[in-house]
Amino acid sequence: MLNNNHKNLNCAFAEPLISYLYGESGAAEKAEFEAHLKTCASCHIELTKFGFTRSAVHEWRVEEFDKLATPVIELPSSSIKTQTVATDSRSWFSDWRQIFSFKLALAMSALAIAVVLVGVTFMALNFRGDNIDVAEKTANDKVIKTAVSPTVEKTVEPPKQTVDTNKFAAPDLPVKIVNQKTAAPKSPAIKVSANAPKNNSDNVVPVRAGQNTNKGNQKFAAVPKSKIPSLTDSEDEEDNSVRLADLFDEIETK
Amino acid sequence: MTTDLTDEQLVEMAIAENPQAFGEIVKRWERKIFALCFGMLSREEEAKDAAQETFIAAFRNLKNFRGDAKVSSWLHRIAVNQCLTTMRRLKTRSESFLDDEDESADKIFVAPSGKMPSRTAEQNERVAIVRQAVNALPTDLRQIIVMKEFEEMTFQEISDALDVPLSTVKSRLYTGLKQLRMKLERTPVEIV
Repeated sequence: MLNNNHKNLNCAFAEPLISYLYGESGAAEKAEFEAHLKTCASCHIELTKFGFTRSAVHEWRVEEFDKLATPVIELPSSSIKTQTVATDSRSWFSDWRQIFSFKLALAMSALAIAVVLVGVTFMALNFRGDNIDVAEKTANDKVIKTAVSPTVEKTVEPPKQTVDTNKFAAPDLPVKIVNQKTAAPKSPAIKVSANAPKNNSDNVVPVRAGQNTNKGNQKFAAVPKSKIPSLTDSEDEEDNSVRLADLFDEIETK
Repeated sequence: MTTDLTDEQLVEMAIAENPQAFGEIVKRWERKIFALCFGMLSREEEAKDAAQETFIAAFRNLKNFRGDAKVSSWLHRIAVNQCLTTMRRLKTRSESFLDDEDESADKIFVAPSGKMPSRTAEQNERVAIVRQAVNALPTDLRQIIVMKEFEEMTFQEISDALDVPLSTVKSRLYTGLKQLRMKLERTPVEIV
């Protein structure tokens, strides 16, 4: 008796049915399924309908495919050549060379970019530095021009005689302060420094180029000589110390 | 000489710059690959092109062939991918190249009254319906039916080719045949 209650073949008999349908079931599996077919009408019907379906597909194949000739597979010569070339170049040296040629090209490109960047930066800095120098030069020129007035410029003479004779005439600030307090009254130039006549060359000292460039030019147009320690001031200080030493020596001798 | 070698040995020889070895592989598999392509695409010209492209792709990617896989599985995978690419291209070209056949599949073949239809016409109609029904199946089910019916591969070979378990092959084939039967039962064309 066939059992028609078996509706779903997916659970247990799908695979045995397919194997049996295509004749690929083993001996034990075949016997088991044939025994099941005697009692299962659904499997019997399913197997019959699957047989019809297979026949339909087989007919399609016979009618349309089996008549067709097998196409001639032609591998393009370019691909064969490519393959051959590729296999020829598969030595370790060629691989190494390919890798390093690529890396070398990359490194060269990076180096070129770096050189260009450095060059551009250098040029930009130089251009800026030139501008600064030009600005400083122009500013200094203005300072010099303003410091040395046309009238004074003709009469100014550098104090050559004092530089050679004084060994200790360092232009340090403490020395200047000491000189202003101690040796100022002795210098006759200081007395006339404030309201000195224009043609007096000792009253105006030219300011050297590069000094006080960041300050106003008019403030340093003409510096009175009284505010600047002269080389003779430090000489006086040296003389005083020598005198004190002489006094101590005299005391000791006495 | 090369006929005694396995597919894997032939591939190794082909990698070692022996073009005759790959020619032997082509000779062994061209018919089956063509059958697979025809079953998947249902068009002769597209199937030829797909088979051609399959072997070209295989030849160009010989170095990528894994030794642990079978050549048959490798070739089938390439062929299926090639067929899917062709189907997408055809679908893009004309909305769906199956639309025309959908319409023909919906038609019910009725013999003219008073005149016996020729067997050839009836056969052609039946074949067209079957072809359309197979084309309407999902790709994974259609692929297995074609491999079984056109290539006559065993379950184990299909399992190896698709890299799926044997039970999966059987269950997919069962489902595919069931869906195909249902599609064919909707058409009043006699199945011989």
